[in-house]
Amino acid sequence: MKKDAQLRIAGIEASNFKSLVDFKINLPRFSCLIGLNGAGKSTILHFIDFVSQLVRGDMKAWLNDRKWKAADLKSKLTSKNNIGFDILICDENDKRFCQWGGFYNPSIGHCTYEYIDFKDFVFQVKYNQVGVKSKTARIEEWHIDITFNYEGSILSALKDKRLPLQVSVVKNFLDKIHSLDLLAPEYLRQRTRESSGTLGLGGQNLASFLHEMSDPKQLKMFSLLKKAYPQLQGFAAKSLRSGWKQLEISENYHGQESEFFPSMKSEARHINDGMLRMIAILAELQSENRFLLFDEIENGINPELVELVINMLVETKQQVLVTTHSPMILNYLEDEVARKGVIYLYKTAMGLTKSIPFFSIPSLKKKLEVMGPGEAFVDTNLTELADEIAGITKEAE
Amino acid sequence: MFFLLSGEGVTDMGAGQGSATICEGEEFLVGPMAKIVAKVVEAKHDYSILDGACGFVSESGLVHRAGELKATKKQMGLPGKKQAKETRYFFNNARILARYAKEKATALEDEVVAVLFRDADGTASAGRGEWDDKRKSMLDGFEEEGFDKGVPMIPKPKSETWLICAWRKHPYMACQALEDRSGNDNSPKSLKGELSELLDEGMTPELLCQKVGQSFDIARIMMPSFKAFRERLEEVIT
Repeated sequence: MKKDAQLRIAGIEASNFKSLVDFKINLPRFSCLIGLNGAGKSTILHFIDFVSQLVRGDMKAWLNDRKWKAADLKSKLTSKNNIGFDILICDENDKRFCQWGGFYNPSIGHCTYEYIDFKDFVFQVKYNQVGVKSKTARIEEWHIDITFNYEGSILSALKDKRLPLQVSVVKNFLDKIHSLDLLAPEYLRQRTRESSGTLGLGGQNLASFLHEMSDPKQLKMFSLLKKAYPQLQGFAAKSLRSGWKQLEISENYHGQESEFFPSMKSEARHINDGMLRMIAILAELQSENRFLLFDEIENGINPELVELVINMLVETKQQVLVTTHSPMILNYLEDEVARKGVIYLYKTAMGLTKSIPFFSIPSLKKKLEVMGPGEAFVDTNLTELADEIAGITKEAE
Repeated sequence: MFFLLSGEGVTDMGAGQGSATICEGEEFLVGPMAKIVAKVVEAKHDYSILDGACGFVSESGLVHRAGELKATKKQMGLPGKKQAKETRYFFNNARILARYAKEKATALEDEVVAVLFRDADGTASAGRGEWDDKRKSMLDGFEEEGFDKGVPMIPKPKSETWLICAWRKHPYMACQALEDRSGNDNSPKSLKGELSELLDEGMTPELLCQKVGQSFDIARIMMPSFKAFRERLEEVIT
């Protein structure tokens, strides 16, 4: 098994994280979260970013980046202290690879109980010990006392050579998940020194990220970007003094051909918001990240580019999760992709976030027969949809 | 004049039994709502459309052609001041039926009237949206295709109200109130339950249709949703 195996998150269960109290969601390779404001779309991106941060450790820095306190993570809807998580991870053939779960205690800053359940063994943290519990005679069992401090998951504190190969594979996969829920032009314009392989929470590492990108990937990115902006001549992350990097683009208009003005170059602070977001999205698509998360994907993208962006996100081998309010985004999804991937989030009368595949709701299934996914979405009175969902849930129970 | 009918199933407009998209003659298993269409026409003109002057397109026949409307994804109908929510389903179904009707009219070199049946509170709306918006949307759908002989047949909230109205002991009383009832079959006093109380046990769709044919007085139905259907049908056949 390769360390960079093509894994994906197939399902998530969360308890006691903000409005996710008894929350379950299944995620196909491409998922699009929709719902009314405050239904919990961004909270799910936060939660995915949170569980991947558990693997990276340094929860304090993560909280500081978001300007949150540890207590902000817990749900105000229950009196429980620990945050529970269960993540189902599948391999490239969509077969169950493992299930990772546990309880994170925000007061002490790490998981007090944790397990990764594989076919042949369970890697677990229990009673202040970490080790392997075998399911077959072929696997050797071991455990050690935890005599050191750590933040997040035990995976953040153990070196790879200490871990069984499958556990390293999972760790490597989870480590590379980053949510771009704060992706914003003012961050994307920043000069930066190093990217550490990620765009950063708001995309602030974009310039260094591009600078560190290999030439073939930069070329690929340029050809994709040129489809969206035919006037584009090139883009580059220019090195400045003291290791700072700055993004620059050059464009070609007819005026240049008549030598009316020389080559037109713009540095990041003068590039339009939409193009910056496109560059960030394309950069993510060229990255090693296995799971890409974009909040409100439609922001700054003009309608002419929606089809291009959606096709790229649906066709990439990486797993993609986006949130949107845009019927146009949904209308460019094929019906089959929409059936599997469009997930509706709503809040119950108790204030708990729940999820349901949007086109599994009988009225929406019916509408999709004669109209596009975006049309069906925008034609539906979402505030009254709760009654129908309540009826289905009651019937199912 | 030819009548092209379309509905949701065997308990309303009927069903097709053949492989043709438009089922005619013995291939059209006539349903109770088709019998009502025939009665309205018969009251105006002294002939039955069921004697070789009608055809039927199933719901799946309409869905089959829906791709023609979905193919141009940039042309998306957006709700706004002129278009209410929960209406697009009615609009699109009307557009597809209008396309079939126009083709049939060309093939027959005759006028074709299209009658589209949908419960106001069917699966596609689940109780959401206003009846008059849905009806208007269906008329807009016919018009969008340049077809001027389209008739919406939209009982409010569903077809049971028209049948109850025609068969209950005391006619002409509080017909309109029936329209404000819930269309949910699981509600404690459902329209479906009330209709089955009026009918003999073991009432199959075939027997129901037979009963409409034998004892169904269209003059007894005084509710606005029926009146709108009847007046529009009478308008296009004169």
